[in-house]
Amino acid sequence: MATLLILIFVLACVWQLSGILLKLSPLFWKLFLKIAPSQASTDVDKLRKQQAEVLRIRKEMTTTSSQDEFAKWAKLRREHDKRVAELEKLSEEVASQRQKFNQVVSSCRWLIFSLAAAFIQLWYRKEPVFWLPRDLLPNYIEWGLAFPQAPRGSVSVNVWSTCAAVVTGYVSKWIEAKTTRPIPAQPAAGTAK
Amino acid sequence: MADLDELEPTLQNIIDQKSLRWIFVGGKGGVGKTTTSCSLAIQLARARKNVLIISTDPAHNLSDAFGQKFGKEARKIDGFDNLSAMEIDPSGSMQELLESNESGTGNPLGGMMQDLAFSIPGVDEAMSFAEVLKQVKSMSYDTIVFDTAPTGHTLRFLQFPTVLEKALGKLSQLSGRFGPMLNGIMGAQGLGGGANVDEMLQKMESMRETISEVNTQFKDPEMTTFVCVCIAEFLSLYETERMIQELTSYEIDTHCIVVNQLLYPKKGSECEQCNARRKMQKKYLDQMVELYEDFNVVKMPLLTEEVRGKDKLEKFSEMLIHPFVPPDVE
Repeated sequence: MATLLILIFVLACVWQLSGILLKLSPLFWKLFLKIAPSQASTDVDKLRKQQAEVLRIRKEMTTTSSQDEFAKWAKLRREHDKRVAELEKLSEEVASQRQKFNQVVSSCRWLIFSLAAAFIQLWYRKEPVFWLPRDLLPNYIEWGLAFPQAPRGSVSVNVWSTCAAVVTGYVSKWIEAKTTRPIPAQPAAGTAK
Repeated sequence: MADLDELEPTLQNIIDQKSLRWIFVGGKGGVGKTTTSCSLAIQLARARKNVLIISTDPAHNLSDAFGQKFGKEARKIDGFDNLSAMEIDPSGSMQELLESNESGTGNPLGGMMQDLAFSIPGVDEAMSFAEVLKQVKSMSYDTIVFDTAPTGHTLRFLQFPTVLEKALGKLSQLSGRFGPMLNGIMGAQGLGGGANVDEMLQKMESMRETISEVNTQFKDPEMTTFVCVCIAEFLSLYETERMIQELTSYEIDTHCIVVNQLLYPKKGSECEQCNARRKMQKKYLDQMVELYEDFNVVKMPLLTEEVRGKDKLEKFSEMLIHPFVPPDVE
């Protein structure tokens, strides 16, 4: 009985937490790049190399006098422009791959959790999650709390799942608002909590 | 440096390339664009049947160079029987286009054209350019030399065909869908009637065709080339490099650079300024040779007189073909 209560609550928490992670941090994406060698990971490697190269060329350009060594400087600049153009194309590519990855992961997440929730709600539909004190609530509310098939006077799995979803939903929204606060606010305050 | 790799320092290749129809001459202001383009046109006139030189620079210099007044109509230059010149003002001809469109009071399309002219940057010049090209196409010139306005301007000018083609393509596609509806609305309200919409669309479509044709011609290195004019100074060189890069990105061929106003002081010259300048110019010239090894870099000396009038221009133009050999240089 208590396990059911905790299980459902934990499930709701994990659902929300994974949502936040997916939305706000590149954790899953980085994990994916590390674990699975794919087109995306080679592209990201290329991107990193290209960025380093552009920075190197920029540094060289600043140390080359455009007036005294115009030919060298102009060649560097051509190289720089070419690489920057490539870089832009590559980063667009990576961004689109990341978006695609995010889509796949969030659909998987939705599928897994929906199935799990449906299974629990169906399997334990007759189980009470916990009992209410006798005669505390009017009859029709008791009926609603036990909906659909839990014994009268208890809280059903369905109702408890809904409550857990609503509460964790509010909490996750609050966390999201705290962590993605506009820049001028103290950066550490939101994440430290 | 391997001298074998260096290309001939003349514009003979342009004269020889008979397929060339459009030749642009461009560079920063004050580097001798007009002089160069006139000289090139004079040399071309000796090898072709009919040559036209057009100035699109609002500060018209052709008249000054030849000492003769030119206008919007092509006119023969005195002393030549196959060389004509015309000067066009890009903003001026747009004005006319707008006015001609505003026939009849309360025509909503006139206003629309005006909106269009302001909403797409450069579209006004592109349209006037297209008008000019249409005119030029109907005339029988073998080669047309453009004496273009200073750098940034020029490049925008050349970019237009691509931009406008896209915009007009979209517009005509849209109007294909909504044209009938527009016609209905305007016909019902008695606003100029439906014929106007079709008329305007037809006009735009024909303009689009002209522009796309011109565009393909401009991108064809057999038909179009761009001659960069510069002086051996940092800023001019810098602009030239940028221009060449941009031209490459527009797929417009360029393989000739004319370096103007070079000083060749006589050996043992006491002129301090001349010697110092010569040294500086030499530095940049060396850089250019290194950077533009696949270009024809033509070196033109600074003369002691202004290059004006037919005779002086003819003399000057010789140096585009037969490289100038400095007398005794230190």
